[in-house]
Amino acid sequence: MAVEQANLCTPQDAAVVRTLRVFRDPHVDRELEPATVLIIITKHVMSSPSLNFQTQISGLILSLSFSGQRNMSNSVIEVPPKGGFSFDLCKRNEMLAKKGVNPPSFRKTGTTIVGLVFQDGVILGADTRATEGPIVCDKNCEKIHYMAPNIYCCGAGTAADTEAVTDMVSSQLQLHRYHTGRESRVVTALTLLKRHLFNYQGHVSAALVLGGVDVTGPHLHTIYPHGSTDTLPFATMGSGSLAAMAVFESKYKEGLTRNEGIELVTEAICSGIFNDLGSGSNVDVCVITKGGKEYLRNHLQPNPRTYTNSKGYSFPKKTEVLLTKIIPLKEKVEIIEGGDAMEE
Amino acid sequence: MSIFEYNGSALVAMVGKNCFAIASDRRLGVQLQTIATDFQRISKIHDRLFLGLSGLATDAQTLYQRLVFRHKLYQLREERDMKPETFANLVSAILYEKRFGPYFCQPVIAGLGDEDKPFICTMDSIGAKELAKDFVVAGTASESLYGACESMFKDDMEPEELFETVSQALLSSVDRDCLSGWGGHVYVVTPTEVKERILKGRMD
Repeated sequence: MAVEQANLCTPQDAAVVRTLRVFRDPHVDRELEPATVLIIITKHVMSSPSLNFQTQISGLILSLSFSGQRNMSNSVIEVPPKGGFSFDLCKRNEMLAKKGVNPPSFRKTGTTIVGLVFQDGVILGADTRATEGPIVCDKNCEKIHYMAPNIYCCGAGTAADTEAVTDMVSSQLQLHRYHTGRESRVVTALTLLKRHLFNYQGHVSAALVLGGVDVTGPHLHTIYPHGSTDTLPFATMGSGSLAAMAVFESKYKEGLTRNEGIELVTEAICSGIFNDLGSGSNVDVCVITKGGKEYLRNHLQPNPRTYTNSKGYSFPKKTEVLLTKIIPLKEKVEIIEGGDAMEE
Repeated sequence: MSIFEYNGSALVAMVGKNCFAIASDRRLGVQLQTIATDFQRISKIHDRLFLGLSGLATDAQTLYQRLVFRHKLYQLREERDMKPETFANLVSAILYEKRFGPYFCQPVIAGLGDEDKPFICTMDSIGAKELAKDFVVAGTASESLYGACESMFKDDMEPEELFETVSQALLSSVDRDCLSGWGGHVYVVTPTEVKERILKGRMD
């Protein structure tokens, strides 16, 4: 490693080399990437800006770049990547699929999500069941995701995709707010989401109901996994969408009040919970108005667990243990200052 | 046969009163042949954070090495250990990065956060987090584990009772699964100590 041969003139250089040595992780059996070393060196440079150190550093970097060139061909990327998807394992997974080993099923939120526009704003509703195939893996998950203080988004489809896409667009909206100094608009979120989803041609399987109130008024949109969008006064998505839409189509009218709106949304979600097998558990509601938002988590719990035995299980016969190892963790030691102040 | 059933695994983590327990089975197989009966599925990231990886063993090892690397970088930069919530976000991001060619692993993360509050979480193979307040399960025996934990779990259990509950749930579930078993490995972590115990189970 070229770095270690540099002359150590100052204690700061020794500190850098010490840090670099730590990185020779026994698990990771390869040379240090030049980029990693640069990160460490930059940290040290920023904390100790002495002239002597800087001249040493330029020498170090020069010797690094030479060794970097030689190692480029057989290095594997380990530093934090630049973002976006990485397709390294695709070839291997395809090979496994050909050998008859099937890829796993991802967690879906077979869902009922709804939104409607009422006189003062928008109300969003969702159930709280997350499924993995036929098994319920989460009985109380959150499907109404935060996008901006005045915009919320319900997600159906593959859980990882809805979470990742809403998180990503939420960060982009925050950056945009810093740039412009204004409140985010719902159409901004809509465009960012639909561009991302269209880009991946529906493989990012996220079906969303986006709702919010901005300077131009209340807005409600649906976004499909392939990137198409609709702007509607009331909308439903997910496996329970037909059950919920039936309720909306018969009972929706314009100019609903807040309580009427919440009741209608709750009824629609309950219809999904009881009639669709992919939806269940509790009802989450989010009311967004010009004044602010109200997130009613578990607004209604129509499926409580009533069958538990209050005594619970007790195990009179203990499990057989072959080996016990106790590792004490370091206790926080409090230093008590004794003695009085200095006397003259 | 699904890729998750290639090696076979069972993992469970449960929350108690100011403590948590994380347990796994010990079998490593190649489809129906057992090749190891002392396989470590749960690894320590730092004193108060444990990670269990179920699914394909090779991906579990690679993912573990990557996460240890990232945690060490974090420790050097921040000069402290990662909080469990932060670590869960890191794992989720690393898994989602490989959305279209995923690691065939399901992690179970368990740790003590601020003020010794226990934190448990599991994810599917592409990083969809599931934060639970009571228990999380993963592996080929997960369906049985769901049932066993659902009935045996109680709120606010003391460490000794928690150990008993987790062990009974694990052993009874792996007994109903061909691909996992051959004993159990349980870690019960409280703010003052980590108790690691190896359980005697059916060796079939």
